[in-house]
Amino acid sequence: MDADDTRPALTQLRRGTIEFCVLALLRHDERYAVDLVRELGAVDGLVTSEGTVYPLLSRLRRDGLVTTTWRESESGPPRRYYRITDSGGRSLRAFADDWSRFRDAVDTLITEEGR
Amino acid sequence: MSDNRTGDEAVASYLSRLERAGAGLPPDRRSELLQQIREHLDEVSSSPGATEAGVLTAIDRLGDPAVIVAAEELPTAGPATVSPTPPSRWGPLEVISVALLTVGSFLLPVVGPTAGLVCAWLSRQWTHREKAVATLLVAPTFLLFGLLLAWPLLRL
Repeated sequence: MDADDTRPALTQLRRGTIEFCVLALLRHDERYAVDLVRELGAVDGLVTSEGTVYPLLSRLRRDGLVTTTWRESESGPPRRYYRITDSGGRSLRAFADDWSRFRDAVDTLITEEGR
Repeated sequence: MSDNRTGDEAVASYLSRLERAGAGLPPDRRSELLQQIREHLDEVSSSPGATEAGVLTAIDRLGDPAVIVAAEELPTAGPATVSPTPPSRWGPLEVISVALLTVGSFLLPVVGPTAGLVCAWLSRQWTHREKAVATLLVAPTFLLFGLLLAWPLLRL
């Protein structure tokens, strides 16, 4: 099971923010699934098992925040590419504002420096 | 490398574990999930220079099928979870009650507000606390009216 079961707050935080991290990775360019999953997996503490990103990608697609297209690959089978939609972009910008306020608010209370 | 792609057996075994773990998912969601994971592992195993160890690492990084299925089962955090608007707290009974307690006090002293309070206490929309407040607000006018009526008698 999840190694962070003993830290439920971290699990909740991850659950609430990961979809916006996916949208942020797609902000400038479309990406194919493996590339996206690898990049998320490479950021420390963000994803515990890479496979859980796939249900998230399906959900974002169902909610109209990303779209998918197939493209041929030079090195292997065709790849499914993910691209952010206008609605996904709006969602990301709104979250970015909320997040910076939220982060600052929490930091004000929990950091020791300057107190 | 043989004719088979690298790590085919490990991939097949992992996919069948995932299929079993996802038995409780709606069929379309399960087949989409399996398809995505299959594509992921196909991509890894068919890339130039793929090794068996690399495929095993990729499987390991994908994680426990049960955890992936659990992520698929999480509720959508989209518009579907928006709570319905609460029902209006103003039905006909509540409107009549307020009318009787205010305008009614002038038109029909004592009778008006009394009927208003009865309506208020019959209301299913208002809480006991709100009904008690209404009663307390009206109570002084009853006292005042009672005193006015009793005044001539007291002077005797």
